[in-house]
Amino acid sequence: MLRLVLARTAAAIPTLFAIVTLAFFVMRLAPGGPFDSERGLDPEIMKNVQHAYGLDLPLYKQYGLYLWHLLHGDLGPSLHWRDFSVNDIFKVALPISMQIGAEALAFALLVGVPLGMAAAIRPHGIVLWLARIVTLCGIAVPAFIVAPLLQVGFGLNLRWLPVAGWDDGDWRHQILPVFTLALPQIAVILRLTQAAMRDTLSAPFIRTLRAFGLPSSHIYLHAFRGACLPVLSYLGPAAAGLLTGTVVVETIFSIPGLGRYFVDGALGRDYTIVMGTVVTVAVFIIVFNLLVDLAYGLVDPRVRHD
Amino acid sequence: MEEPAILSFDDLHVRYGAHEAVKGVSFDLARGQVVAIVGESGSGKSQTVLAAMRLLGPDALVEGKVLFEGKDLLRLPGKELNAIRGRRIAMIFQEPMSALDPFVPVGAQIAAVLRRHMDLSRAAAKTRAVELIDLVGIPEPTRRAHAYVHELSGGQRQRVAIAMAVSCNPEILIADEPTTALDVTVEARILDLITELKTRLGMAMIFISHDLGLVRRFADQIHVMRAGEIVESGPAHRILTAPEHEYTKMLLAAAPRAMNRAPQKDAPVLLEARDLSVHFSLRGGLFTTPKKVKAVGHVDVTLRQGQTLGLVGESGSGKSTLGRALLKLVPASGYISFEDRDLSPLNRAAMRPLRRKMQLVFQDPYGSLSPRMTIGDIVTEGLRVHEPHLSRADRDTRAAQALDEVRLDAVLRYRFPNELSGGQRQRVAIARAMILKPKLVVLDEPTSALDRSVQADILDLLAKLQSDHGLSYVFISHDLSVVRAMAEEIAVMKDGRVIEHGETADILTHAKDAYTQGLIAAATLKALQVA
Repeated sequence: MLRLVLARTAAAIPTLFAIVTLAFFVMRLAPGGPFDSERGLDPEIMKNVQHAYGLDLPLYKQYGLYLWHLLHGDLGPSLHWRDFSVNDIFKVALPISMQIGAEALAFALLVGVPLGMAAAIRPHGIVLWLARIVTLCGIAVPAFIVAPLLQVGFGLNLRWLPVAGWDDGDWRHQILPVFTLALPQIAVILRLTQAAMRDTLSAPFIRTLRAFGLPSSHIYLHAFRGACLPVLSYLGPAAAGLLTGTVVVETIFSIPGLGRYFVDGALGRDYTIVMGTVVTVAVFIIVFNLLVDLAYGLVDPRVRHD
Repeated sequence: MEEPAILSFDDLHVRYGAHEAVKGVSFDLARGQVVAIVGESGSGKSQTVLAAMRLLGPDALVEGKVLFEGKDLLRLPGKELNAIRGRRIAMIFQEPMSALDPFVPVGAQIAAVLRRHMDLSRAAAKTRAVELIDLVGIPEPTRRAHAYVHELSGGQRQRVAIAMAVSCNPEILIADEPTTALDVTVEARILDLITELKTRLGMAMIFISHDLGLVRRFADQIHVMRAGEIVESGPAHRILTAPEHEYTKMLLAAAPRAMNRAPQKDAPVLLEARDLSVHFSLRGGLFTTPKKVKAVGHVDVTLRQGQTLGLVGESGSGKSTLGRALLKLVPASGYISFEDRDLSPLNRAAMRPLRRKMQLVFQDPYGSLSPRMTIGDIVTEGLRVHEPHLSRADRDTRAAQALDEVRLDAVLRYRFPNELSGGQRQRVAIARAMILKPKLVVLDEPTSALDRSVQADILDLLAKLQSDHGLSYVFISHDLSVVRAMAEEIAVMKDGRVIEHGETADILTHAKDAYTQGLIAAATLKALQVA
């Protein structure tokens, strides 16, 4: 197990390096710069500002410096939110995004897995229809349509929940964004669970359990153990999907999380914020996939890492 | 034997839509009796017992009655049925790898059944499970109880399944082809175990098999099934010695007979290999060095024109690898000559003109034919490479001839493999090899995936092709009873080495090695001494 962790960490370094390099240069290919504005700065001032942030250096030097600082855990100063470093901003924004993401993932699992199991065990009637509707909506309707509909319905018409904002994480502010974020994940997890459960239930070892008179509860429990493997391996991509999902959801609900800083940063050519987000998300996805692999070994003895 | 039946099947039907898999099966099982149901694949024998235990899928429509102590199993409420399943009627399935739960240690699987039916505490069930694992002859039972299915050998898996089946002292044991997936020597030991436990625990048994020879040792009553119907029933010795139905006679005759062919020592040598070894390297991880595994070690082979060399051994013994190495299909070290020409220095391009003289027929006629090509295209594919000047019409004629030679209707060349039976497909695979007029054919378990009666036809065909064209065969099989029908010489392989090599008659009568003797015993078990 330790060997797996070490090997994967070693393999992550070139991956991260490639991502950082690609993001750095692609970012600079985009026209415009962080200090462009409609009025235009005085050339003298512009020069000074650029110099202050090291943007007047040749590109390869900027790249080298960025890597050097990154190695020391320093994501650099924000170019847009002056006087704040990217590290300062992320210290506040990252926990918010992670909280929404984790809640959405938990919600998606709590709804998707049982509903998928039920739809596989009783493939008819109301459960199956419910599963179909949820799947269809979750996959077909994008977040930027779901979110405004929820805002209008629950915020403006019923006035049960706030339309937007964060209010230091008050629970009422979390419900709509978390639901919006979770909906597509529910759909995928439901489908995966349903298909895997259906396959496992027709496996010969389940027939053996039946042939030995074991009760249905026991049989479903054992079938689920096999059926949860595809869901487990989806959690890696799901985490990635949730992180990109937060970009849209945080913007619509005006939540001061990583996603919103990313959007603002990209639009304002805040190079360091964008780079910081890319690096953070990449690290997060790599770590999450490793955790999923480790969990896989716990569930399935055939791939146990020793 | 006028004891009242403990289980009786009364006009059982199983339908899948318009297809009727079981057409009115009736028979009785008395206490302590062994009833064998014998038939080829698709005869409905497994469907019959699965239907009785209500283990078929929802698309199966089951009619009739299955009475257990006067109660109809087909109409029993689920709770009552579950109290009988595993407790009073237990089952063993064919494929022990997939029939056991891959996620739960085997001891815990047995314990779960014990706790369900025997009202034992968790600890007591665990102890009893270890005792049972010991009872079925698995060494180190305490340690093995914690093993997962994939960590056990095929024989051990089936032993675990047997332990689970006898755990609650059932009155009836249903064994559905329990040894078909196993190697022959393992098969013999598993059969011994089942019959011993049967006697010790006084169980009645329904034993399902495709192999009449197998059931003769212990069956009291035999029912022969074909296309969903019982075509002949009777006491075992009567069925085996005086079969009445044509189909039973055919099944009995289908066991391959030894031909006792004498080797011709003056025939020219076609293929010679000296000190042939094959190594596979297992790819190492990021921080591990690759390991080398020896699949075949220092083997010498001589094959003369028109002769057959039988390669015998169990799965994993290296016989298939050796067969491929002889054709230079896997990299090997050592010396190989074909028609007095040294093959060792030849690369792939230089080998290509020789390839048409050295052909290969695989075991699995389902996997080895492309499902997207017509039979005609499959058979003539080699001609496109080796005789590119042929026109489309020429190739079509050659395909028809080739199919005719393997006794297939020439119109089949316009069909696709999935429209053919297993035996027909294997004929296609043979035609594909023969169309190039080879000198040497390596036959890798050519009949192992086929039913007994089809098997005999294929062997017959192979023998005729050999004498017509003066072919040399390397015949690979795990089954000595098949090999001895074909080969003048036999090499017995174990762990990548040839442990015994000689003329077929010598090997069969004077085997020196214990392993060979085990194989011979297993083969005799299958063969029938029918007058």
